Order: sequence, then structure tokens, then C-alpha cells
Amino acid sequence: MARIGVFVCWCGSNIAETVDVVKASETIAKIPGVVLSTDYKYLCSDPGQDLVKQAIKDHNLTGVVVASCSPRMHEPTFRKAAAQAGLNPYMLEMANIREQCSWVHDKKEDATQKAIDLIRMMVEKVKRNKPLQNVKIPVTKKALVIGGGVTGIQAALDIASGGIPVILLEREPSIGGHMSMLDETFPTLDCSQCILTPKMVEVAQHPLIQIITYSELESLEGFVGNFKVKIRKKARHVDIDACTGCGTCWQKCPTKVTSEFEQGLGKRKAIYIPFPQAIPSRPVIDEDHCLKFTSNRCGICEKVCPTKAVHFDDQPVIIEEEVGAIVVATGYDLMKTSDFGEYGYGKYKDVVTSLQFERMVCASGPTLGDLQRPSDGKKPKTVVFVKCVGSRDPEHHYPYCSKICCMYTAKQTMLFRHKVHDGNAYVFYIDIRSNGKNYEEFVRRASEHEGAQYIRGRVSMVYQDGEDLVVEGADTLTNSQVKIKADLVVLATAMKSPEGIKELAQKLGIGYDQHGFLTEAHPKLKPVESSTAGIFLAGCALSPRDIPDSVSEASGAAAKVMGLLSKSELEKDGVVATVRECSCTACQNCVKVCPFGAISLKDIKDRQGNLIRQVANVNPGLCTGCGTCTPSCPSRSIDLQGFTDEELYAEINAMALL
Amino acid sequence: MQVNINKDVNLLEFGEDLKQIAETDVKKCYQCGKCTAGCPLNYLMDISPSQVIRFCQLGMKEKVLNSRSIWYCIFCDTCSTRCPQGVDIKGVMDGLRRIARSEKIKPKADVRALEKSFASSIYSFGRVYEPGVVAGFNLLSGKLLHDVILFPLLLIKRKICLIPHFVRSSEVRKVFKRARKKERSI
Amino acid sequence: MNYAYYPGCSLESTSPDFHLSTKALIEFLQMDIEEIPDWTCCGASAIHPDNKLLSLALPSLTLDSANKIKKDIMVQCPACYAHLREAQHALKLEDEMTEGIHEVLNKKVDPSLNIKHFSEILVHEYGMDKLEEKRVKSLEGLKVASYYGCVIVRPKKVMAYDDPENPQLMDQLITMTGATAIDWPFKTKCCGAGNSISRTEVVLDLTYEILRMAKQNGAEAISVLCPLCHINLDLRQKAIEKRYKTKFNLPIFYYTQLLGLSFGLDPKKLALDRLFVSPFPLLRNKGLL
Repeated sequence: MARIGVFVCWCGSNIAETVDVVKASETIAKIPGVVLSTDYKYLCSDPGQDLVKQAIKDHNLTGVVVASCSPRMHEPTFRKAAAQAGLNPYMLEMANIREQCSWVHDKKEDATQKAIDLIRMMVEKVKRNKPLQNVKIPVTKKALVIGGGVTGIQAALDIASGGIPVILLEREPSIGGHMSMLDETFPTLDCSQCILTPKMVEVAQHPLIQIITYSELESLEGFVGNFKVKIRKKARHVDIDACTGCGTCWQKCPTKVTSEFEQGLGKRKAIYIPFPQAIPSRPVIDEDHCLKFTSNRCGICEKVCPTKAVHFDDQPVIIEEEVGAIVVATGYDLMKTSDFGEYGYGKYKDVVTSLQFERMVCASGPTLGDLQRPSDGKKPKTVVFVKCVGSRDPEHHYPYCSKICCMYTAKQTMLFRHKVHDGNAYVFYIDIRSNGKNYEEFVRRASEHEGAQYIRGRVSMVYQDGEDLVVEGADTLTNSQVKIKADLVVLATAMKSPEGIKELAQKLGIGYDQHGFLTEAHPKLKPVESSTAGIFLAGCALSPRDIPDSVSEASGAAAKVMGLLSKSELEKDGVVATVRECSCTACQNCVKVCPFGAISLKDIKDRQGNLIRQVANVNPGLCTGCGTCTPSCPSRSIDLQGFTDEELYAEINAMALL
Repeated sequence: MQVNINKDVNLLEFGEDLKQIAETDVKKCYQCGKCTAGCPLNYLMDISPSQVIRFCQLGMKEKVLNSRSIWYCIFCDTCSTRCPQGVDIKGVMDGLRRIARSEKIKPKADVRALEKSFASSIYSFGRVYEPGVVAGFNLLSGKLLHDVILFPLLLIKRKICLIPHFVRSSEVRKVFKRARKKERSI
Repeated sequence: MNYAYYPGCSLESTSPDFHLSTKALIEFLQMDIEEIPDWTCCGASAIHPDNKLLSLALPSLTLDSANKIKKDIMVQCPACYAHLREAQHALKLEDEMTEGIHEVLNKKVDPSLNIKHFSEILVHEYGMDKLEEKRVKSLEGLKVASYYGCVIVRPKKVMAYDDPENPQLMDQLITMTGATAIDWPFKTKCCGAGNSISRTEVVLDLTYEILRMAKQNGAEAISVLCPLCHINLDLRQKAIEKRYKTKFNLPIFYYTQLLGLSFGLDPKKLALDRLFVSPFPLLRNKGLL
């Protein structure tokens, strides 16, 4: 015998202004099966919830309808309250008389009638509700971090500190990312590698962190807590365990190749480590340039290696791992000078990107920190820094702001002036975005104390005129054209998503926007979660951001991972599809329509083990309760618990029939 | 310069008018100055291209219509091509000239002399009769001896036809008359 | 490759060298291109600041002429190219302005024909390989700066000709002749265009920069495709030299003249004698005559 309690909320004036809640609750009280119908100002408040809990106990309620806001707001609140009072939480339903009634109508009489109808529908549904149990799924206590820059490194360290083993996956030969290429960082002017390498070493020495470099994600299967990943390890041609990092091979290697780490300004060998502090400190062979691979010659490295660690016949290997959670920290890429026609399409050697400038001033850079013009090696006396190159340019490149350029340009003017004391540093800017801690003070320091000269206007063109570079800019504040003869021009080019990110996102089943930046589940309240359970996001993979923000997010994502993997089992919503096996004909309609691949066929065998028939079978771990399978079944053998045909039919009848 | 904005004023109105005439939205301009930076004629203008757009944003019609800048623009399109927001500054200059003409504002440069002379050549002959155009310009602008030395040089190089061609001139004249009548009524 | 040639007023009067060398090439390459019989002025830059409707109606007359003989249009003058394209665009929009144009012309004009520049036809349709086969004299040793001017590359959406920052079509043709197309940054910097008559000093200032930069990057000659750029660089070169107290001596060729030279055509037919800055000393020096 149904004993339903109905609670109609005023929601202050949000509902009560348009819906006569008292009349509604009085009308509902007359429905057979309703033993209690009352109204209250703010049901979601503590006293409101207490009211519901007490009523459940006092009146022995078998079901509850809360008529208030959208279930997206407070369904978990009220269901928890019901559970605390001893009622199965799935026996509580909400009638949305706010977003779907009082907020969209203004005639009180009609709105009240609609509210009554909505509540009656839910009463009839609740009468047919069945108590459901949450689904419990096991959890693999291991995490995968994709991306070995500062963000990935921080996430790995934080997760490992919680006792959870971590695989740190990086596609370059070494971890470190872009931060390892920087000279000094804002706003402290810390030496970048000096603060990063301790963390890199910590990761390398941590017993719970396994670093896999020169490798990429091949495929992903499974679901939250139970991911199966395949990793493709590219052929390194050097045995990491046998190699001691002595460096004899790369010293003897005859082939010089443009170094990616030096941003094209220096050279490396065909067998190389990208930078001296690389981790792992073991070389790789670049098959595209190594003479052995291109023309079957040389092979010196193999001959001189004291531990016989060089193997030309290495093949890529695919390894399989099981993890419970994934953090994507794949970072960013920077636009190149060759992307900009008005600045020379990359043909002027002395027009460089900001990252190239970092390598030029860095003590471990191609000129060992001696600032030289790439064209003739002379010391540049006049350097022009151009901001917003490719950013804030929806017409030709990217509409967004790359966030860090205002700060690092101020920094770079200081790095320049510290090396060339009588140098002239000009900065062409549109705005100055310096909104972090001590950021504004840092930028003011650049212009007030360190001699940077800021000119407000964008640069229309840069060209070579004899030995000088001519920068044609503007100063909108004095309404002038400003032409500067410069020795070096540094372009603060836009940050963009890295190569291959869309393919990776598709393998992971996570979303991305038109620029390739990964999409978070909610931009304000779920900034480190993707919309796929178990996969978390951090750092510049989401959008341009600086190191403090990236590191914070890394820790945030790590906390989420630890929360997820701290239990031995994950509890999932009980709203899953179930199959009535006696009527299922295994037509596989449901298998085909399920967007999550949660349905497969199950064998039914007789006592001798012979296959009698097959039936559809739902994996409750993968099922998200979307209900797509239900209407696809011709024999009505699959139904969604919590939204069964019977329950929904009752709702419709309550509304449509007298 | 003092700008007083009263309560019932709509600053955006002029920009909306320009949107119809110049087919571009001045609201998109965020005053980066790239147009000014690349403008080859900025050095002769009294207000720079980005400033012209700024005055349009503020609805300060008189300022722009009475400037020299809109008459000095040579329509090279460097500004519009490089504008990050896709504002057609060249189109705005063009539109402002037409508005100035319709409001009978005297242009601040000699361009009208050439344009008038050019137009009347097409009107008369259907094609441009260059000696007539130059002569007409010299007369209208008062620079009677301008480029006169080139005349014999061009003759020697046979780069001038002394006799104008009449090609579909009556049809062209009708087109002129109808267009002028219609544009006045727009 | 059946086109109707629209020379425009400039080619007919002050730029007969362009007109003649174009016709020489058409004849030599046996292309099926005939001049539109009753073409009228496109309006150039003189009409649109005054009357937008008229500036679109005048070139529409030419579209109509081409439609009458059922041919696509081939142009040489970038201004004519721009105005024909703008008229075509306005007619395709089918809005109030389109109606206005039809009303003013007293007829409907079909805008669906193609409008191409001669250099585009040479490179994309005739083909570089076929052009190279016709080359009898390599202009090797001649360093030429390709100067496109501003009109043919901008606005990018309307002209759809080539990259506005570093176009290559004319450079490709120059390279085909055996000459060296030098790399330089002012390929599309405005020369002052129509201000040639009304504000000559502006033109002198702007063209000085172009000549100076071309020379600085090693150019011995400049190749152009715009009659107005040609006048500014060639006719006015002496005035520029006087104003800036310098000597350039840079012959300004039309690209058609350079192509014609490499095909072994008679310099007179290519109207090389009509250039103000004489190209003959340079050509003789390089053994190209």
C-alpha cells in the first residue's frame, strides 16, 4: 500500500510568486495514496530537510515527492536525506515546478494548475518506483599521467605521494617539457631549470613513479577505475638499462641535426639527448637523420659504446597497462615566425620567437648565454619585443589571448638589459595583462626600474633594410607611426594546442574545442575534470596559462585521482539498464544503439555446457543510464531502472487522462 | 578636447549607420593601432586611421567628416588586410567621403578635382581620355602648369592619344544620370 | 582557354607598352583571346568615393559585354580586375544594391562568368611547363624585383589572387624566363596609385622607398603588372631621383615584356622603346639583345 509524502517548496518567492503552493499542496493531498501533503519556504535548508526526514519516520512513508527546483540542483541533497531517514533514496522523486513552471510562466492560475499536474505525474511515478541499489565497481589503484612537462611531473609526484603507483608517459626523449627550455621564470626570475630539475630527479627516483619516454598512447579501453591502455614505445635503439649515459656515442657521431630543443638555433647529433639534464639521461637515435638508417653507413656509436647498449635493430613495442585514472597534461605548442607574412615568413634570421629568445639568453643555450644575433653573431643593442603575434587576431589566426606573453615579455626585457646594460628594449603592446600575485609590480619594475620602453600599438610590418630590421609600429597614445631600426625582433607568438592532440583526445573519448584545447566538464566548478569519468585535465592542455596555475591544477587533478582511487570500490548510480532475459531474442538492437558500448551478448548454456541461446547483457559499470536502449528493443526486454516503462507510462497517464 | 555625453544620447548610432554604408562594424575595433602602423599616408593625415575609427565609435561625426585624413586615404587596403578584427578601415574612409559629399562638406584635398575630371571624361566618352582628365584637373585645381612638361614627353613615346574615342557614350551617360538620381534618393 | 580581353583605359592610352606586349604574347602563344569590342571604363578609383552605385554599375556594363559574346573575361589592369570583381560580387548578392544596378543599367546582368588575370591564366591554365618549352632565350643573369602593387592582392577575399604578404605568381613567371626573381619585402607596398596626378609628391615619397629597397636587395630591374605602378616608377623616376638626389637607373618592365624577350620576340613589338627609363643599356650589358 503506497504511503506517499508530498512536499511543495515556496523557494522564497521564486516559486510562490507564480504558483499558489498552498493550493497545490491541498489539491495533491486528495490523491489516493498521498498520506501527507505540505508546503515549506526553503526545503533545501537544514530545517527543510529535517522536516522531510521526520515525516518519513512519523508517517512510515514508502515514497516522497519534493516539488521544487530542477533535480540537477538538489536531487542528491534530498535523496541523501531520505537515505538518512531509512528510505531507499530512489523512492524519492522531484517535480520541477521552478525551471519548468514558475520561471517560465506568469499567469498564476495556469501556472498553479500546471504545477499540480507536474506533481501528480511524479506521485503516480513514485507509486511504481522500485528501491534500487548503487552499482559497485572495482578500482585499479594505479594512475597514468600523459605529458611529462612541469604539470605532468607535479601531478605524478602528488599522486605517488598518496601511495598510488603512477606511469608518467612522455613522447619526447626526456621529461621536462617547455619549462626546461626557459631561462628565468616570472615573477621571481628564478632560473627555470634550477627549480624544475629537482622535481625531475624526484620523479626519476620515486619508487612509485615509472617514467616511460619516447612513447605515446596507442589505445584506451574500459571505464573509470578500470582502464586498459596500450602504449607504443618508439624504437630508441639504445638499451636504457645497459647505457651509462657516458656520452661517447654522441661525441663521435658525425651527423649534425637542427636541434628541436634549441628551437632551431643550435645543433644536436643523430644520436642524442635533448639537453644535459635530460631524464632519462639516455640517448635516442633519430632514424630520419642517422646515417645507418638513411644510407646504411657509419654505425660508429655501436662500435664505441663501452656497454654495447646501441641496437640498430630495435623495433617499436606495444605494452599494456591497467590503470584506474588518467591525467592529461599534454601542454602546448607555440606559433612560429614562418606563420606570419608581415613579419617575413621566417626568412629574417634576426626575427625570433619568444622561446627562441629564451634559448639565446640561457646559459645552457646554443651560444652559452652570450646574446648574439643569429645572422652575424653581433651583440644586439636595440631589441624590439612585439606582443600579441597571432593572439587576439580572429581574422587571421587565434581569437584568444595567450595569457603569459605580457608577463614573459616584461621578463625578457629585463633578461636582455641584464646582459646588455646599455641596450634599448622596446615593447609594442595593446594591453598589459598582469593579474597574478606580484605580477603588476613585476611589469612596473620592467618599465620603471629596468629601462624597458613600452609603446602602445601593434606592429604592421617588419622587414630587413640593409643590416637593420625595420619595425613599423604605432603609438596610439600619441597617434603616431613609430618606425624603429632594430638589431633583433622578438615575437611573442600565440600559444596553441600541440600536434596530435585531436587524435589523442579521440582515443581517450574526451572533448576539445575548435582550437584543439581540451574541454573541462564545467568551466567554473569542474576545471580539472573532463566529461569522461576517470579522466582529468591540467595545465596548458586546457588553454594558455602560466606555471603557478598549471602546477595548481596538476595538484588539483592529482587530488581528484587520489579521491577516486582511495576506495577499493567505486559506487555508481543505480540508474542502469537491465535485461529481462526470458523475452530477449538477442536481436542486438540495443548493442548497436548503446553510445557507451555497455551492452554485449551473454551466453546461456545448459547443464552440459552446450550453448542454448544468447541474451543481451548490460555492464553496469559502463552504463550511464541514458535510456537509448529501451525504445530500441522490439520485445521490450530491456528497461532502464529508475525510469521504467511502467513508471513513465504512469506519468503520462497522470497528465493526459482524467 | 572635451566630450560631454548627455543622458538621452546613443553613441552607437553613427556606427550603425556606417555599418550600412561601409558594410563593416566599427564596434569590433579595439584600437590596437596596426592600421596606423602600416598606413603609407599616415604622415600626411591629421588624425590617424585608428583615431578615425575611434571617433566613429564615439559618434563624433563632425570630427571625422571635417578631417584631412579621409581625403588622403589612397585605398591601398593595407589597414583592412592586416586588421586583426577584420574591420574594413578603407571601407570606412570611403563611406565617410560619401557621407561628407551628401552633407555638402568641402573636401580637404585636391581629390575632388581629379575625381570630377575623371568622371566627366567617362561621362562624355565612355572611356577615359587622359589629356582631357589632366587638363580638367589642372583647371579645376588651379594648378595650371602641373605636369605640363610631361605632355611632350608622352607624345614622343606615343603614350597619349590626342583624339578621344566615343564608345557607347550615350548609354554610359544614361547610366550616370540614373545612378546619380537614385543615389540622391537613397 | 577562350577569353575576352578587357584592356581598360590606361592600357589604351598611357600604357600602350603593356597593351602591345600583351597582344604580342597572345599572338605568339596562339591563345584564343580577343578584345571585347565595345568595352567602357570600369570607373577606377574616381567613382566609388562619390557614388557607390555608379561605381558598381559601370563595370557591370563590361560584364554584360562579355556575356553578349559568351566569354570569360581576361584582364591586365589590377584596378579593372578589382572593380569587375566587386561588381560581380554585388550582383551575386541579389540584394537592394543588385536591384539598383539592374535598374540603372536598364537590364539584368548575369554575374556567373569568370574573371581572370592574364598571369593567372599563364601560370594555372597555360602551364609553366608549356611556357618553358617556348623559351628560346634565357634571361639568365638578370636580377628582377617583382612588384605587384597593392590593388591586385588586396582585399584578399575579393581578389583571391595570391598571398598579400609575399605573392609568387609573377615571380614564377620571371624565374621561368631564366632571370632571377629576387626576394624583397616591398612586393605589395603601395606606390601611391591614383595620386600620381593630384598629389605627385606623395607618389614620389612612396615610390622612392620602393626603388630604394629594390636596389638594396640587388635588383637591376623591376617587373610590374599594374599600369599605374608603372607610370609612378618609370615616368616619375627622374623626378624621384631629383627630389632625393640619388640615381637609380632601374628599368621598369611589364612582366609581359620580359616574357616576350625570353620567347625571342622583337623588342619593338614588345614596345620596349616606349619605356622612359631605357632598358637597352642593361639588356645589352647582359647580352640579352
